[in-house]
Amino acid sequence: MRKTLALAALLVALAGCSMQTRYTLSVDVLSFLGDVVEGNVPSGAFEVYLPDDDDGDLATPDPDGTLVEAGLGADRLEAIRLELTATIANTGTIPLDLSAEVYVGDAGTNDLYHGSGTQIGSASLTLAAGESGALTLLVELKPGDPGFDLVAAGSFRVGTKLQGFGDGFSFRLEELKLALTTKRLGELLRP
Amino acid sequence: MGGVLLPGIAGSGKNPAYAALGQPFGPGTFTLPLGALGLLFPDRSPLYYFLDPNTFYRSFDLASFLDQASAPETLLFNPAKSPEEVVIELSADGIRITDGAGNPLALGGGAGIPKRTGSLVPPALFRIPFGLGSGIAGSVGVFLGSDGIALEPNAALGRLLAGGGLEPNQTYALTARGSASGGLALDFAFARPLPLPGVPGILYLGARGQAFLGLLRLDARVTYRVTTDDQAQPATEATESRTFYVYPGQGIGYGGQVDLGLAYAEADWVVGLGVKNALGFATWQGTEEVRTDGGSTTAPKTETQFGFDPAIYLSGAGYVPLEEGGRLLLAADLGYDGAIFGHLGTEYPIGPSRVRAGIGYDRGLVLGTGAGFELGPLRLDLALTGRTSPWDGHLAFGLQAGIGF
Repeated sequence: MRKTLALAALLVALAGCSMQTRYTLSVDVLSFLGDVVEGNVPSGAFEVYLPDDDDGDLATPDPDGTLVEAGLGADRLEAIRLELTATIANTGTIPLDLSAEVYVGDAGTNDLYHGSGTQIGSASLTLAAGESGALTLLVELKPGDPGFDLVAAGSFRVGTKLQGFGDGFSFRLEELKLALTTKRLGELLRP
Repeated sequence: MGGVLLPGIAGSGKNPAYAALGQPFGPGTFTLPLGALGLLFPDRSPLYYFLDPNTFYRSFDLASFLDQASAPETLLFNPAKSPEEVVIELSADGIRITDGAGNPLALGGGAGIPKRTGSLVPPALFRIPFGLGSGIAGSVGVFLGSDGIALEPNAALGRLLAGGGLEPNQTYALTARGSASGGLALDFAFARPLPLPGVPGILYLGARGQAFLGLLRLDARVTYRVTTDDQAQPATEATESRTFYVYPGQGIGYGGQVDLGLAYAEADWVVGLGVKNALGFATWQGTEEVRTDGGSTTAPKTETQFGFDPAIYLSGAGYVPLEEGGRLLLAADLGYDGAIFGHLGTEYPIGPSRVRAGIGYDRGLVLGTGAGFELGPLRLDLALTGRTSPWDGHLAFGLQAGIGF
């Protein structure tokens, strides 16, 4: 990763740099996960935690999310953006009501969703029987927002809680991107 | 007239035979280095880093600096600007660099002040001319300047910039290089007409010999390389720098070159061929320092160049009578000074003034429109020019000025 960033820095030098330029490092997290993130949730009331990277079995909850190490420091950043898109297919015979909440917590947290994590975004979706739809979560954090300093520091856990009621559904993660936007170059370099 | 070389004394630097022509197309002017004024603006001047750091950190733009520095004769109104936002998209497949709107950044093959052939040393800052009779003129001058500054990606890095992905087992390299030198120059020029029997016009021959004594030289090159592995992931990196320097007490340089010129003139038109550095020799005795990740070495080194490394200027101009009276001046040139260039220009007199327009190609499109005025004993040429930056294709407009007495 360090050498990739060094190469990126080369390209930035060539892209021209003005003291007015802001840089955004946009990481396609999904492409680095390697495996397809998908699953099925059975009928009834549900509360599942994603990603489930301990055993991949949703029946045994994984409440510590996933560890992300990519940061530039709170004093260098101006904005943080997290984009998540998942396809949800209602495989049951009744409407599906679903809400999603994104939490972040410090690297040592073992349960993001019950007290020690911070909720930074949410979305909800209702699907008729047999219908498919896209669940889109867009989180934008500015300095001072809850969770900003933690994410900017660059070592944190992130996870999503899906909860609601239905007759079974399947999901598949389509996009997961983390984008860090720096302050203007002049502000970064000024001693 | 868009930078066209006009036959006459003012063009004798590029064709020594033109010194004997007089001023067949009107008195020329000396171009003022307005680009140096441009380098005082905070967006293009690295000097503010020392003078006023707050202004530097608020305003400096590398692209604007490189654009202005490569146009020493032009005060640019809208130099190239770096993007307001640069987005580096990292994925398992590679890197993509875009502007904030998702478009690839428009970048070319390199940036900087191009190295031009035809001269072993930078142009003189000033010269003191003297005449020796018999058509021989001389001058002694001081030179100090850059012989070229460049930021060059290799071909692989160029493809990556253009939006390609990372390739396996490929080396991506960026080289920054710059060189500058200073010293004293002495030249002798000779030009005279050679009437030919049976030919209506006159042939002119010219030659110039120049010798220089170099007191300062800095030639630096830094290369940074990243090499990918079988999986197209960056695996190794290396930095290498090479610096060659000469300063008083620590080495010296000397050399000389010969420039040749021919011109043929009839009543209303002139054509000419100039070859600068038809034969040249230069040697610099200095110190070379090479640094790699493994360590550094310093050793005396002599750099010598000898032979034919010319700049060639083919030019012509003539008056074309107009039906409604008056006449139009048309001029064109074509040449090579490390790259092929060409210009086409025209001038039309209105009373004591002249209006001009021109178009050309010199490492990018060049446009110009201007006017010449006579203010008592002073002649003033002003031109609005447009030039494309070889770096990012940006079209920058600027002002050029020349004065004559």
